[in-house]
Amino acid sequence: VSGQTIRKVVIVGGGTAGWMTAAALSTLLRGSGLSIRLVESAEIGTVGVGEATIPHIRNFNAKLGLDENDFVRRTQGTFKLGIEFRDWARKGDSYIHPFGDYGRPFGRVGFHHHWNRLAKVGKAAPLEAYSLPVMAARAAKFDQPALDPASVLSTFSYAYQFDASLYAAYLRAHSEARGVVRTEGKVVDIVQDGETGHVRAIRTESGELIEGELFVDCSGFRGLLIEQTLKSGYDDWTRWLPCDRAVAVPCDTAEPWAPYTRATALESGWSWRIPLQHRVGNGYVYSSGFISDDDARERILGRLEAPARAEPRVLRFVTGKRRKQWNGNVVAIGLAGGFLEPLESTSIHLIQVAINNLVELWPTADRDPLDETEFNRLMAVEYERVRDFLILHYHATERDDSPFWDYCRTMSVPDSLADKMDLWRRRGVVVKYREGLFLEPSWIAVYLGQRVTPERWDPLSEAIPEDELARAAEAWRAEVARAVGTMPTHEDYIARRCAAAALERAA
Amino acid sequence: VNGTKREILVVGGGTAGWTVAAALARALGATAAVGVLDTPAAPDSGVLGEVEAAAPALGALHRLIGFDEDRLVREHGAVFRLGTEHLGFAGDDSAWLHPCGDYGATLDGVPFLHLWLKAREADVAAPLDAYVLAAVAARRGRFARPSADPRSVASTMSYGLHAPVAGYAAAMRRTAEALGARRVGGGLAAVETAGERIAAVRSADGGRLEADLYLDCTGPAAALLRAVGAKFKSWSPWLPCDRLRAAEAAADGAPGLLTRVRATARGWRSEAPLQGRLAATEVWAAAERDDPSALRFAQGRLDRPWIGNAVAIGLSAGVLEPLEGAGLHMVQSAVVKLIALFPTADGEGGEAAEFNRLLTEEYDRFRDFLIARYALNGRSGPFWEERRMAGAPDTLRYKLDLFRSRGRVAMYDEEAFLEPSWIALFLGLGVTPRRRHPAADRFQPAALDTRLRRIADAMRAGAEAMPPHAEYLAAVARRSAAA
Repeated sequence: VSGQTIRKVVIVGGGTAGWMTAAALSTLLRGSGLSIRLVESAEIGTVGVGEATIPHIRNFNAKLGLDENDFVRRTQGTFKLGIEFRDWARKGDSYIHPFGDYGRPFGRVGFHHHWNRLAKVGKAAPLEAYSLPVMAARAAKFDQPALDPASVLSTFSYAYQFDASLYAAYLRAHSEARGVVRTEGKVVDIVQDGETGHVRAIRTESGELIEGELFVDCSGFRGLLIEQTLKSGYDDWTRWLPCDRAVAVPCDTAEPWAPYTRATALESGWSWRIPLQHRVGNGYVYSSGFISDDDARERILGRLEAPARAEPRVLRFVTGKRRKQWNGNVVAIGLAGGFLEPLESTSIHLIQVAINNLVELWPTADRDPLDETEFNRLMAVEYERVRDFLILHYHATERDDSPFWDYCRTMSVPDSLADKMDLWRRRGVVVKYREGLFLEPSWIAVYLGQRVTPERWDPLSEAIPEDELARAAEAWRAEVARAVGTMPTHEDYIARRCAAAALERAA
Repeated sequence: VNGTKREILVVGGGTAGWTVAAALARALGATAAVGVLDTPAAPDSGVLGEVEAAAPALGALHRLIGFDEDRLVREHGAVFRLGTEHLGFAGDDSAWLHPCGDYGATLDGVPFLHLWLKAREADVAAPLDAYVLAAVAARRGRFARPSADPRSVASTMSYGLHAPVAGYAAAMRRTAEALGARRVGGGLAAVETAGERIAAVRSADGGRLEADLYLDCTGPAAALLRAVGAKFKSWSPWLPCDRLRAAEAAADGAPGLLTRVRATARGWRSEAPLQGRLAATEVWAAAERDDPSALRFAQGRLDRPWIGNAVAIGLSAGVLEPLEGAGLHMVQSAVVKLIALFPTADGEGGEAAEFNRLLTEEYDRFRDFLIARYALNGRSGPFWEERRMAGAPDTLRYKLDLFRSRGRVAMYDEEAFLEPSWIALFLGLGVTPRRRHPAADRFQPAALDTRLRRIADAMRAGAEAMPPHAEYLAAVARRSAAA
């Protein structure tokens, strides 16, 4: 087997992406003789890319061998059963996109078909009454899912809400313990190979020349290596996802810790609310074409449930994806690779997918271009399928109370999404692919939550008599309600297992 | 919109017709009437040839329908199947096995193939087949249905069947009829269309039959779909075999568990064991002097297997040479997709486009799987040299390049086979990955040796715990006779 192993990898930029990469490489590629260096500058602020996550992060943490309670404690974390969407289809609406199912299939037909059929004749409760994670979230309950697949308590998964900068610090300790060498300093120069154009080294402010065979660009939006040096190009998706700024501000906690993230549609975008143990993260994601920075700042400050803990910070971004996230010997991970707004908490997930693909396609010194081709193929599919799911949230609306919503409601969407929506509207079928993050229950939650109701249901539902179906649905609803009653509250769960020290919380 | 009783007409019987009839009768219950316009004399509608080496995926459909597999064993001489042995494709003396199951175990996040490549480099690896239970059991002539317990080594195995096509169709017909499907006689005489829809079909005895949904199970003729405008896309540059002849011989002793396929001058010849006999199938590309007694076929698929109110199932949708259980696998795949996308009564549900996307992609991936053994063959002779020159579709080419580069299988959205099958195929055809994953380097040769021995021991012990195949068949026959 030929193909010399790479010995030197340099990660440019710390932050969530940089330290997740360092932690994963130092753990998963241990014993392969790899030296890992990470260069970051305390002067350059990092962007906490989304403090809310989706369940896949548990796999990532498990691969690193992190203890869950320790991790939650040290990142001021809380648990997350889903995302509440307020005011999206109409003002006053609320639905939760849960990490789990609605109902269970009867007679091999998806529950939503039966529900649609029962709802038409007034024999169904609201859809969310059949979902354990939604009802638990509404009741501020949390517990570990049951392992017995027959139990209603096994019908959900969960993720976390945490302080991303504490997570980065936590992973830094993990990485340094596994030999990652951190260098403090700004990158002032990049040395390229005259022939191949590959990056050979970076020079820091102090004059140190750091050579590497592979560079991971975690430098954020600017893409120091992938764009500024290699000019990899960028696919701009702003026409479908028009938000291009966010203003973020943390505040004190006024309500019990909710086991879910909230995304509220506002006049020119949406605002997030992420409850952590020590504070609540807030922000307004907006389109600068429809609202000024100052107005957005005032709008979010006016919405805070308690005093602000810091000055609001404005972030600028262009939604889209680097044309080549892997280019030569540079792999862009995190914001350097692309940006999709955190509406479905996918930022950390996209970092994780890039890291997994990089590890699985770990290059050799002879630089076979197929590694790059396959990485870029997989990442493009992942980004595009998340993109379509995000566009759905904006497009499937009846709101006509602002120019922003008029634009979103009437814009043309990618064909890949238009076809999906058409099949759903006509027949209640979710288009399925092998690749792609969001599965059937997620699409169903958002479609129905945003009032896109199928005109027809699966004809196989008819094989079950209506009364029998209504009884089965009611039994499931009652079982969900009973089970939620047995779960501890989210606050109790944390207090017993993973509360951050009071001192840290006050700090 | 919903709520009326549906008339469903399956045109053509055989494996495709009776399978879809049984599955729909089962799924639709009293909400539909399923009729089958059977033409018993015609060649089969789902499988080319007289015996099928059915792939594991069929089991899921059998359970969905409530089809009694054991009855095939008891009444039709079927036996169990654990893989396909390929002889001569990579060169005269070459042999490789495509087993029903996964290789070894992932250790510490490192895929087994890469551990094995590293072990082979260090000279501490047994042949890859030593690490897959289906292969170990097949070589020892042992079989038991896999365990559902994920901790058991027996859960890593799956299985298929060797079954006579006529027997399979007959058993499926009994199942369908028990579920309420009814046979309407006469055979197909003509198709009446109205634009891209079927208005009615006329049977040979003069009847005019109207239905809400028509299933085209007329075999390669695709009589209904052609009538509403479907076009056939030929794959003959890549898959040139177009003739088939079947023969049977008595066989003594315990039936084997493998399909054996040997490359010949212009195609291949396979042997499938049945109880007390061996079914041989010869497939080749026609030469100048043709054999008029051979069955003729052309490989390819329809551009749209579902148009309007007509859906093609089986050989009407696509024709692949009868290797690796292609016939019933694609019947099964189309039926499962049809049930998931069953059309609404008003015909306005928009299901056809999604069905066509899923089914045609899967046909194309199965096609790629078959093309590989031609495009990458290591045989001499003009036929096989031409096959190497003809190359491969881009989708297969990319998969091959990536595997050759680093032992990774690029998976597309709709695959007919999982990763282990592609690994078996590529390695069997002599494609050795140029690189392996560096994560395998964390295992020292001695440690790897120990871990791999342990896996091989577990496979051997798992196989030894199974009864001999003949004994298991006898037990199945006794049990179903008693039931």
